[in-house]
Amino acid sequence: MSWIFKIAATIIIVLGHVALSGSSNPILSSINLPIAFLVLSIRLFDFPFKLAFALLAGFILDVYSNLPFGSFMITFFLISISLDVLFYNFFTDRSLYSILVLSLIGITIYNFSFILILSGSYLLGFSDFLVNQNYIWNYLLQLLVNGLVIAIGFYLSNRLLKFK
Amino acid sequence: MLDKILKYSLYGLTVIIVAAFLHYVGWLRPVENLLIKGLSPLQGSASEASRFGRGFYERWLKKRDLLKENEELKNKLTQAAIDDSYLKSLQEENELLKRELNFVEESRLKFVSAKIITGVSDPFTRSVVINRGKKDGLEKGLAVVADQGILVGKVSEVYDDFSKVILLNDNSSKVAATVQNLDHTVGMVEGQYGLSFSMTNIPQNQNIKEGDKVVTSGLEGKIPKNLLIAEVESVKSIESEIFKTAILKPIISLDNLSYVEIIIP
Repeated sequence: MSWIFKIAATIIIVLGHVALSGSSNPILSSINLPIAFLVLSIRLFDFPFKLAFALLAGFILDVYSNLPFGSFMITFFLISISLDVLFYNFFTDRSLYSILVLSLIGITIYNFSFILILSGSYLLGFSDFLVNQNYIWNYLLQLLVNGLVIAIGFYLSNRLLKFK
Repeated sequence: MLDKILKYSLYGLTVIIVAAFLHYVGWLRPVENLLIKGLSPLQGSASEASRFGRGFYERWLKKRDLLKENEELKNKLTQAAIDDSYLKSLQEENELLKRELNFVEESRLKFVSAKIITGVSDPFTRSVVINRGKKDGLEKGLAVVADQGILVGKVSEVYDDFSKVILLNDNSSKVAATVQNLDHTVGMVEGQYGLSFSMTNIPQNQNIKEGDKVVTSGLEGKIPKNLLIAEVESVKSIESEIFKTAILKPIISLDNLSYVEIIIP
């Protein structure tokens, strides 16, 4: 039964992410719930589950999005692998600062991956894209907002683990 | 540990390649349709909640401006009533002339109402998902309008029960348009990376000014002519170039859409 709850949790996170992305409020639309979950769950779940989450969340977002199919799946796939490798080999102290650095890395990989995918799509003539001042400000806002969300999530998860 | 990560990564990569392949050959379409259908009640509720929260905040901010706007609108309404009576007399004259010359009456357009299930889901495109699809007669390229016939986008992908719509400010959006000026200038309305849209390929010798209305030209087979698109906000002209560009101001906000209509020719 636990896999049903895991799938339901994945769907709820993705739907929440889509609802927030559609908001015209720049702060709310900067929150990236799937990445926040990947970062916070890094010490709670094993790699196969995190990978399955990344692929399922990416698949649902690819279906909803107008970007080349597979963009979200590839992006979340890269993020889940990178975070795991870094967490178990470099940021082993599991402190808030490690989690915050991992969140910055996750958001950066998210943006960089899409820029690469859209560059490829542009070279093949499928679409246009633009990285300008607005995009850079949006990226910085994503770092700040998601860092805050993850810090709050880290604090709450620590409290929950203590009660357990 | 690294071996385990590598092993599962290979599985993951295989899943991604297979899923992408199945999507592009069309075999995954029933699964995608079922997924959107299954999630649409939840997604619709989540989007409504997001819109409500945003709407509440915006209404609170705009409250103080309502009285002033109300007064301006009253004055405009009076003027509109005067214009309307003149237009009605012109319409009657037009009908009479058509009858006199035995003109064939233009076919009425068919509208299909749709609800927006999800808003924009990624930061790079401006597309939404609506709850109408092939079963309702939708096809790729149909015009999507809101608020009494203002063009807001085009259908980009159609499933059995759902469709994706790219909005006018998406950078892949292109609509053939005409300016309602003396020259009846023809050009292309293009989205500007999710921010706004502009009209391009306007010859330098065409006279366009701020406030001119831009409508569809009807040159695209599936989009009827004379659908209102936007208003000219400013004109960018460089003497050394063949064409100039008009920056357009939307008539309605593309961020607050809940219901739209699709025109089936």
